Amino acid sequence: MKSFTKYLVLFAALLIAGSTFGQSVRDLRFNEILIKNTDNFDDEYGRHVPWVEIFNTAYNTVNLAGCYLTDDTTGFAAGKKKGGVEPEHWYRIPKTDINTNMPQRTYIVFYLDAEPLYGTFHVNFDPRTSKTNYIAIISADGKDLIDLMYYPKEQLIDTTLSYGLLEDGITDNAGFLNQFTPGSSNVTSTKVSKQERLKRDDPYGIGLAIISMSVVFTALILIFAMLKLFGWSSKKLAQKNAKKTEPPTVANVADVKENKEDDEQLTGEEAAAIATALHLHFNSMHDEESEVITINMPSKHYSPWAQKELTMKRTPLKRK
Amino acid sequence: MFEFFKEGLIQFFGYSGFGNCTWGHIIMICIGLFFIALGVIKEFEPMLLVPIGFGMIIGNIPFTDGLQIGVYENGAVLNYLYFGVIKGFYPPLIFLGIGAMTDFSALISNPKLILVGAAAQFGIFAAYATALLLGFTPMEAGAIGIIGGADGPTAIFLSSKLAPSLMGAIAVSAYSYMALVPVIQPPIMRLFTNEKERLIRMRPPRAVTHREKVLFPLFCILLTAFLVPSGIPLLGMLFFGNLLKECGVTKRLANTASGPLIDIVTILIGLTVGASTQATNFLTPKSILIFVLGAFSFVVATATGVLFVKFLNLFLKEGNKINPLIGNAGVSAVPDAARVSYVEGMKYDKTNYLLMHAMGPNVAGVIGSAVAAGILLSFLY
Repeated sequence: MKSFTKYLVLFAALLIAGSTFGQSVRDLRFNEILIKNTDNFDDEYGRHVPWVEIFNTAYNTVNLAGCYLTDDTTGFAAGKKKGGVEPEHWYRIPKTDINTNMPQRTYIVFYLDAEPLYGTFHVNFDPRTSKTNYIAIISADGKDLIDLMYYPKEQLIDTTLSYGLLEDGITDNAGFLNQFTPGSSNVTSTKVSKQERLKRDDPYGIGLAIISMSVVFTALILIFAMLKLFGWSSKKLAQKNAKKTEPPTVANVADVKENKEDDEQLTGEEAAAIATALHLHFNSMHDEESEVITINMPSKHYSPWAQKELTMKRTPLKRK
Repeated sequence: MFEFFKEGLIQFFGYSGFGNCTWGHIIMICIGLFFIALGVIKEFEPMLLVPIGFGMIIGNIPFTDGLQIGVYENGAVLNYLYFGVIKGFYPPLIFLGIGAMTDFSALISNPKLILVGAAAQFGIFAAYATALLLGFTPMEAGAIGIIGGADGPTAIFLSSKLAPSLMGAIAVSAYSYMALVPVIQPPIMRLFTNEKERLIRMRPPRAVTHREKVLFPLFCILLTAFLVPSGIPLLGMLFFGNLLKECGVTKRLANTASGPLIDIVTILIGLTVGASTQATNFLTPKSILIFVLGAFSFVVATATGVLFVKFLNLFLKEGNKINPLIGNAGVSAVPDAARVSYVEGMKYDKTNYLLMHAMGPNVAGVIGSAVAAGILLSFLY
């Protein structure tokens, strides 16, 4: 029994751990990085240091706490705590800071200044002195690589441009960005929106009305054609079935013709009368009754406790 | 001690509805009561007006912000229920129920009636153009225009995508006009028809086979969804519901979709849409304009439906002509618009039963408005 409880607890713990991971950090992506920061975004101490932006692509809140940021994934495959020591360039995001909670589709900036004592968002490595040209984020257990972004290090050290995803969260489309957008979307182009174009090209809505009505008519004309085809094929099928079941004779043909004429002459009143009769027939069915008519009082089988008069409060009578 | 009680009472009063009440709240509560009265006394769309009216009362009881009470406050129960409106997943569920309730036989037996359903969608685009002229953005104009489709779920679906800020006004406007179909449509129908046209008798519809009924939703979804993929949420659910009904082997699913499911969603959508009409958001000049534009689009939709039937009659032989009194049913207020055709027809000929004939354009209107919503979505979203 004890072992059963143990397994149950273990299973529950795994389930909780799995579900927490499942709905959280997997959706994080590196979005933008700047290395040569001369007069750009400054940290809370007013220093211009390299920074990296992470984007939460999910539609739910994600907590970064416990995850690792690193520029060196050595030891990653072996797990984080080989011999109880965390790898040197791995920065563990503190669990005590509520600011590591990222609401849906939001951004967070980390300063890559090798000054972890400066605060939660200052990591323990600096890309300017790093041997690698990538940055990675690793799950809290150190075993899952959530995202890894390579960047053109040599160029980034020489230029003041930032590098990142041209569309937020789309990792296969990276490049140098025209504008710095730490903490906000990388998409800053001022292209005309669909709505603005429509307002410019069709200010009175006439074009849209013509196109839309044409499409509505086209859709319904297609259905009309389909229904016509239905009618035609069912008529053919009915004729074919009629031929199969009854060989045509002169008398039959005359009968059919006569019936057809009768149908055509069916008045609205007749149709309504038939419909009413059918309705009554199908809807008036009810439980079978005894069919016994009697003047005798029906026998009572209920017990006195259910008598209504006993459950009612009586008005007290004043005795004289 | 006295001071303590006094302060406590003052503080309590500050938290109460009386302490936060404004004229806007009182007006909106009165409108809610009026809606309930319309539903209960006049029986105008009671299934919609009663929940919406009650929702208006709930949504306009004043309270202090930050207590997670209101429909717009994160974490509030009403906010969670409202989620289905914001994200637009109630309307497709309602369409599922509508599909499982609707008998398309009238349409299948007389296919030309489907064109009437297409013509009546003109109201949507007339309102769109007018809204643009009045200074609304194209997205807002599209959401407002769909009121002319006379389809509450479609209006909510489209406004949740195109103009969420106007959704309360658009939804209430759409449902109000749907409820007022018997009041709005008859004068327009009479205006555009003469005595002779109102007496036209239509041929009785032919019997439709089971095979045709089963094939209809399958072919329709393929034809319409390939043409307007953005209409899939509505059209897909509509035809899926109809397939459940007609295939004959999923009776339990069809019963659930057309019974408990649609009832539950109707309650939630009605109540939360009503609650979303908080005075501070709702009582604006824009809302009044939306109501005016909604009425305009409804009138245009009815008129174009009737006029299109008259136009169609020019090409039809004697005996095959369509009574223009069923033109109004091209809007998708099912089955109210068809009932209006029937009632109007009976006024002029007690033996002319137009109900079944009017159901054709009426269900075509449902398809047409869903297609129109899909087009607007693809152009504007």
